Amino acid sequence: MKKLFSKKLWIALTAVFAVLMAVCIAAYCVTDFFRTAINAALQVTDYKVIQDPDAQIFYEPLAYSDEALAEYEAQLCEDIEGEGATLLFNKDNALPLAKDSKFSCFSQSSVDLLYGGTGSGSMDAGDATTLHSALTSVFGEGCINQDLWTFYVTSGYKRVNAATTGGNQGQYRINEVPWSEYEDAGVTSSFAQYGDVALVVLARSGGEGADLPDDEECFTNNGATDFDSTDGDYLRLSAEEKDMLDHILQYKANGTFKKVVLLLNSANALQLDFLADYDIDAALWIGDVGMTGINAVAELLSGDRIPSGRLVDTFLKDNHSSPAMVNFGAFAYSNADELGLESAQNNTDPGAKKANRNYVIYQEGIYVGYRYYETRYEDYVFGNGNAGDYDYSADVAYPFGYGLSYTTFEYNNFNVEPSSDGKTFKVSVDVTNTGDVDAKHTVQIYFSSPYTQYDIQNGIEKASVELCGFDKKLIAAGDTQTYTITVNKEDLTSYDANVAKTYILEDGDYWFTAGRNAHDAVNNIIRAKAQDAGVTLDEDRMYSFEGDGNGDASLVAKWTNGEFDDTTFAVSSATGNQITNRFDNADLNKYAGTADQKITYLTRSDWTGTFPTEVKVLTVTDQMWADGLTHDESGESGRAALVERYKEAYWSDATTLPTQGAAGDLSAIDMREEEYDSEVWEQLLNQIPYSEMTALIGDGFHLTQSVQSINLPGTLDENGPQGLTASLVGGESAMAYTSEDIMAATFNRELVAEMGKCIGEDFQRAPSNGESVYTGIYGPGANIHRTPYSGRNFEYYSEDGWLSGEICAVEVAAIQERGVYVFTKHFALNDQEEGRYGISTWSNEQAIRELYLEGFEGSVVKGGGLGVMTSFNRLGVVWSGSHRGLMTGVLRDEWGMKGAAITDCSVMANYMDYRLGVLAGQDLWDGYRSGMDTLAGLDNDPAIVSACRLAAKHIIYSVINSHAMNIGDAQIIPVMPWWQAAILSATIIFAVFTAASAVMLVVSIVRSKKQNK
Amino acid sequence: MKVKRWLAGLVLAIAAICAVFAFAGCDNGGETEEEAPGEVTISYQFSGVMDGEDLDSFSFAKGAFWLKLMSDGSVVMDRYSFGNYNTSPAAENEDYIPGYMSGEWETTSRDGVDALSIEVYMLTSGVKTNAASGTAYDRNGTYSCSLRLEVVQGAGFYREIEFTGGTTLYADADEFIADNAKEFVPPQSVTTFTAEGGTVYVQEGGTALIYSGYSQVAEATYANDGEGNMTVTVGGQTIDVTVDTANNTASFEYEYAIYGDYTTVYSFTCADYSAIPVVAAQTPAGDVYTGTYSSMTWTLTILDDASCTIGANMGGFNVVFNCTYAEDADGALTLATVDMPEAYAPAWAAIDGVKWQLADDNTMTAIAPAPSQQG
Repeated sequence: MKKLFSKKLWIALTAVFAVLMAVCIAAYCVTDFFRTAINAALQVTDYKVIQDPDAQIFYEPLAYSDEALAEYEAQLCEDIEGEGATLLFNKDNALPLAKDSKFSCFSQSSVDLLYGGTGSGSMDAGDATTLHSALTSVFGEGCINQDLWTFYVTSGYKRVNAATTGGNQGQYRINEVPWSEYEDAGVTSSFAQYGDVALVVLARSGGEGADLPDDEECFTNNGATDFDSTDGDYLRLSAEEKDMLDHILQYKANGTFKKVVLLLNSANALQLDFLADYDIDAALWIGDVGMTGINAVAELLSGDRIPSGRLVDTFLKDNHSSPAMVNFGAFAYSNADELGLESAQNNTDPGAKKANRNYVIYQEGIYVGYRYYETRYEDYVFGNGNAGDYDYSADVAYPFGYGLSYTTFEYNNFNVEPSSDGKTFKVSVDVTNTGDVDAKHTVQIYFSSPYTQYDIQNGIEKASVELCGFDKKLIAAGDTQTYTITVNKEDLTSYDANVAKTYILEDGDYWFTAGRNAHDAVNNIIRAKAQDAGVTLDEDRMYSFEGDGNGDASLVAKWTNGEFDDTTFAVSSATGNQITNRFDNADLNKYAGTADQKITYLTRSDWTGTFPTEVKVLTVTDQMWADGLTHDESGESGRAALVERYKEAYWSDATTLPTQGAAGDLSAIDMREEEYDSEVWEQLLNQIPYSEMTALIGDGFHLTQSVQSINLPGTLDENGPQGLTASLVGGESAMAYTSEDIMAATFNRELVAEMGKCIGEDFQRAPSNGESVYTGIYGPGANIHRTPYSGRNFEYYSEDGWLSGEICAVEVAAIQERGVYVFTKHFALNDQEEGRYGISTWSNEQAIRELYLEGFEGSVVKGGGLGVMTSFNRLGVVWSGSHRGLMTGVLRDEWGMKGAAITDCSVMANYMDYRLGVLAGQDLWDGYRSGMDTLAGLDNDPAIVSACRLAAKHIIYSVINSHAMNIGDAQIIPVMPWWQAAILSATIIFAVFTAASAVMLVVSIVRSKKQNK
Repeated sequence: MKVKRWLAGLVLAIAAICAVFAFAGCDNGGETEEEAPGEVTISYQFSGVMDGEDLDSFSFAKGAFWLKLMSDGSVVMDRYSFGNYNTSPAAENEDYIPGYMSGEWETTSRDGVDALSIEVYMLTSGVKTNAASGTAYDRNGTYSCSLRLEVVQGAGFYREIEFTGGTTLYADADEFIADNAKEFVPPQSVTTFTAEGGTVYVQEGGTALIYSGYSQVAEATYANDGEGNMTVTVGGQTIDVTVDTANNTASFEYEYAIYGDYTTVYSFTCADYSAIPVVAAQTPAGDVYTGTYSSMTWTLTILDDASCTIGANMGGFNVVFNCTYAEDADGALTLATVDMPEAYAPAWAAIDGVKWQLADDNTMTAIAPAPSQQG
């Protein structure tokens, strides 16, 4: 009993419990600060949904069991690969192969295929079909040289990708096995028994956070001391690969191997300068094959499938011949150090707060990919534009749109008819399958617009040919099919940023043709133009590819526009709003802030004189700083001052503080029946308190928050674009389809739509956290392949913006039909990874609109896409999400997008300022407000509150048009997550113990005093 | 006897509570605990490492993994976060997380090659998360595979971690820790300021590196006349160092903002002031005064007879107001803002009407405005 009243005991216990209580309180505060992240990681919510028992199910699941759906998707992935993989050459009909062929598979990548890219879009490919399995299923057990296969598997050599976080270009490694190891292992003796085919796989990985290295500095600048036996260019062959091919060809020469077949397993176009050096029999470009796509490749080799893919990029013999290459990378402003500017590749880099050090100039203008090569080629043939001694054949290995089959096709009866309303052209052509196998075939329609004196004088550029239509059909051997393709006149326009400041359709001759590829198209048009003008062509200057003719004027039609038109297309066909310049501040030659720092864009009026050869050195001026590069909050040039300028420029009408948190009985579900511009929206928004609005806007890391005041459920959003990755919040991947370029290379809208439907269904069926369901996909990607070296080319469709838009539109529409809203990414001009956080991207408006926005326009206008994901980079000096012209001018006013625009990952990236974003038209942040909550305390600011209401409306609009609303008129009840309850319980228990101990301490003191008395 | 029982009960209750919370803190779904010892043994074991210079600012994210393929077909993967440089034995090492991930494995013949098929995952609310799978092949007795693991749980980025191993590797967790433990190499310095959880490495030439734990969080400059006048400038803010020349000590407080809003205040002390090099102030400025008000440290810089700036770190931002000032009969300054952006109004409200009494030691005291009369 005496011990019970020991003072020392209770002093000690009181102290211990008090400390434990204090620890719990501190833990509660700290974890509460990170609660959004913790909830996401633990897959719990801070609200509970009380279901509406009478809820209408807006999106019923498809009538497949999970197993049947998985099986269907596996087949669909194969079909996409089967129609996207492109046959580049096939000497002496080396393909298809006999079913009893025996294979020796070469390269360490043959046992470790590339299934997709790395980074946020990466997926777990542990269960993906291997080349071994695919070949065996088609060619039978025992078809593969097992000794060689086992040799590679156990060789210890492995391709290395750059890490997404903290990674850099210097980490990429091919790591091919040196030939000496084959000999040491004695594996060469196995070749003879498996000599029908030497199947060589050349793979190059790419991914988020690091572009592919294109020269030695990409390695040395990142501390790497070797170039992986390349000259620093990752898209060229390494010494080991060359050595491997040399030896394989020696074995072919001595009769050991009968055929050598090449598989190009990469979404980044390898430089194909080596093909002429090796006696390779056939080559297939297969991109990244997804989970099951390699099965289709095996079927293509066997002839069970007939190749029908078409290239979506120009494949080059010299990747550095592109006029974009000299300006590819991140270049520091000359006074970057003086101003304390910083850069970042990832949000773990401290520089992510400022992200204002680098810039890149798109000096090539519209001349990206085939728009450069084919245009310069035409000018060379005609002797125009100071084309110089241009050698097209030295640059281009295979042109855009190219692809062979196991049969041949003949085109006849090409015809073009303008529609009666003058808005479209009906283009038709008869195609005959002249071979002996049934096969699918894509007809590609190209047009050529006049390059006029007006253009030359006013800085407008025209490509010699542009894709404007396509269709794909199955044609039985010997049969003829008529293709009828509608071409929109709108697609013939050019953007004149200098005089008309809108889209124009110039007077002059427009030429249409059905080309087998872009080069075939330009050859057709060259013939027709020459014939029309009575000019004799210098045949030595003409060049054509296998399978093409040498230009056929009968496949060309001319349409003459009699009048220069700068009014018809100056109005958006989607919204009726005026279209005018939005990006003067991204063009060095128009933006006053750059003072005299001007550049010369590449022009076809002077190819040789204007071809970019060096990077223009740029210096940050005071105005560039104040207009967006600033990392200061205060002062005349700080962000706060910029906020005031935004308010004055864009929100001067917002002088009355909107209602917040008013009583009302509207629920989010009620808005499903309301139009976007219904006045009822205002009543709904009045009910939302500022705190809920800003939480909805600001804490959107892979989710949207619930809004209890209007019974809006929270949602889960996750990465694409190859499928549901579930990577960032854990969880298991669903089907991983091919890289996006293979999807586009199918030229098959129906297949892509089917895939979109299945991706949407995967989201619908993804396991929820009990309260929220997966309703938003971060994808597809709609940037373009400005160069072959972008790390994320696997997430983008093509070098061609128009094709990107066409494919994106059908994928987006199909995903959304399943009640899943898209965030097409990365809006916009995020065509490289180097310096991606905050890099200033300088471009002229014609290129921005005609190339870089087209994919997104397809998503929103044609596909009805509800959302976009804005990019890390800046347009000029303005972060994309705070670029009013992009976010409101184009996205809302011209395209009419109604749903939400989310940022790319904003965690710790303070330059993605909430105030500037909402004032410009950004809605949702893929991050947390922690550490960058610039909206806090501004609930009395009419402009900020008005902008937040609009942002909230866009987010709500996306959610109510998703399958999240299958809950009906449910109630959203706030609850405390288990982990928070646990900490709170601990705090209470320790508080009770502390109090009890303190009481006992007092009692013991009193007792002690009494005893002493 | 009753006392003992009572105390034992109390201790047991505390232990139970602590166990519950320790478990909750490390919880990966409750299904990652190792099986009870018995017949279940380790069949194969691997190790892999997540490291790199880019993680220097996030040293807690660095870690080694011990992947154990158990004889019952289960997988247990432990994690040791060596970036915290805690080399204690496993039983008392809080940076060692047994059962960080769980999973299954089996022997298989993949594409005709004998291999180990491995899957690891976490279980959260019964749902598999962060699942990763790999195939390990035997190369002369050494197995290797790669698994895609998240850098920091919930942070959203993954790395391919290469694992190598075989039938033997570590006898126990202590050996695993010992094999992967790192020694912290502090940056070069002439002396240090220390605080609980933090260190400032004072270097020649006027630079000082501020560390929180083992992560460098800021690079500062300092000025010191060797006679007791010293300042440290970090993130644009100048902090006065209190020097006790008699005891040869110096001290200052530094507020480190993690994610901006959540802050930790370090009370740094240098036990050897005389070791700090004499360095002249690099950028002479006007008179600077500091004082606290409304739970923030304010810095007032007198620019001329009428103008000044006053600023503080507010929610992660260094906010500086341009002001004019007027001196009253008692020498206290009343400030008025100049061209203040509207967005700053809520921030200014925190000190609006406050008078500042300046002292010779470059401190200042806030005199709060009288409360307004109601009704």
